[in-house]
Amino acid sequence: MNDEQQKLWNEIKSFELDEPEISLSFTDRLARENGWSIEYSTRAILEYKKFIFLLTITTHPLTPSDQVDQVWHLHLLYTHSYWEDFCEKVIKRKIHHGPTKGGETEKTKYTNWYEKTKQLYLETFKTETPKDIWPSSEIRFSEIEFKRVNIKRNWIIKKPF
Amino acid sequence: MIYLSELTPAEIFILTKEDVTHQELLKITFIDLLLKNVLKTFEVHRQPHIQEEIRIYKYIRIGQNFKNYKSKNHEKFFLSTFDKDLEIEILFRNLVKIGYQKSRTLSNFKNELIKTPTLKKCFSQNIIQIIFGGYSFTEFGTELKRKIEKEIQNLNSELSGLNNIDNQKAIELIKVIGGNIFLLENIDYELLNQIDSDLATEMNRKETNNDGSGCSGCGWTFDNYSSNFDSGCSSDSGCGGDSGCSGCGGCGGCGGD
Repeated sequence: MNDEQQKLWNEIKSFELDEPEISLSFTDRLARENGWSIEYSTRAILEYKKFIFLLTITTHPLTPSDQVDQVWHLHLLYTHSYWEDFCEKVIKRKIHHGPTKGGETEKTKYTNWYEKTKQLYLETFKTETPKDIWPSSEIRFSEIEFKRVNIKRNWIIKKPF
Repeated sequence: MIYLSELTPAEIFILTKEDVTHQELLKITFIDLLLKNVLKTFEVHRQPHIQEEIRIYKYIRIGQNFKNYKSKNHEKFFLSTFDKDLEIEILFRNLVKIGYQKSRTLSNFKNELIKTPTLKKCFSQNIIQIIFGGYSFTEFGTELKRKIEKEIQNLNSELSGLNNIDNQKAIELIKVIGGNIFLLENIDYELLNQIDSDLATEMNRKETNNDGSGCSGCGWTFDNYSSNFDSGCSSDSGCGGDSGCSGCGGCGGCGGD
């Protein structure tokens, strides 16, 4: 990381998604919507910031883990925070989010990008991606069958295997 | 002071206060870690927009003693997140929530305490107590409890000449007994009150299990629970006049979703 990149990373890292005095903060919502603990959500947010930083220092497309992607999705809902405060003022460029178009070709492409992302992460932050937030490519692109379930009306029971 | 300098406040509490609450144990453990410089608090002032007021954000990061500190299991509720990333800075209120979530219940917290190396000779558990929770004092534990109570009493007497413990005296005491200073009379710190308030919020949130519908701005305190907690909406949330899609498309990468 050169000086300029370090400065930008510090700014991204200190960008705050939670407002101090509200009842349901960004972190609370992220935890609730994904069934995560506050600790895991806090760590996922930091990984999201790292991912966004990586996007700013490379021209190569990158792919986040699903966990990081969930943070990104939620941040995109906070439109003022994402577009004005984060993209415009901190990153000083627009970072768009593009879902996959589906199909095997796309899967191969995104698998490569995912691996490339983890490699760039290692080179930049001098540490491996945490496995519980950045799982292997195999898990990343196979365990993606999520549905929105009304838990007031449904029970969720874990499969035995 | 032997015991007040060797035992954590939570350990002292479980020995001396029969009706200690989950909140008290969490609060005193958190503040003890701050006073021992294992964790450190700092503030950031931000003004999101020119027309808005400056907001104060209070954070926690590792303190200068973190790396060499031999933490006990009940302290890991607040410390383990930093083991995973030494540079992480966590909002004060989020770390309070993390501690609360990790400790789970009063019974779980007490179980961690009675198994610490310093206290394991003080308690015994029969099978029923192991299954349903609970413990009994051993003779050693009863004797230790008596000695600690005596030590607290002596220190209180020593300090009773002062109307309120002044800062310098408090700092000297903190160096020796850390968070155990709060077991003494005449101590009231703003920080302790803030932890109290944040903990109360989190505990009530969990106990009432009241799902929010996504907005900000509903006042709520420990003493004055509002059933409108995080429901209903204020002016700037969800899909008001300023939402919809900001034109995302074609971009640099996201797969699998």
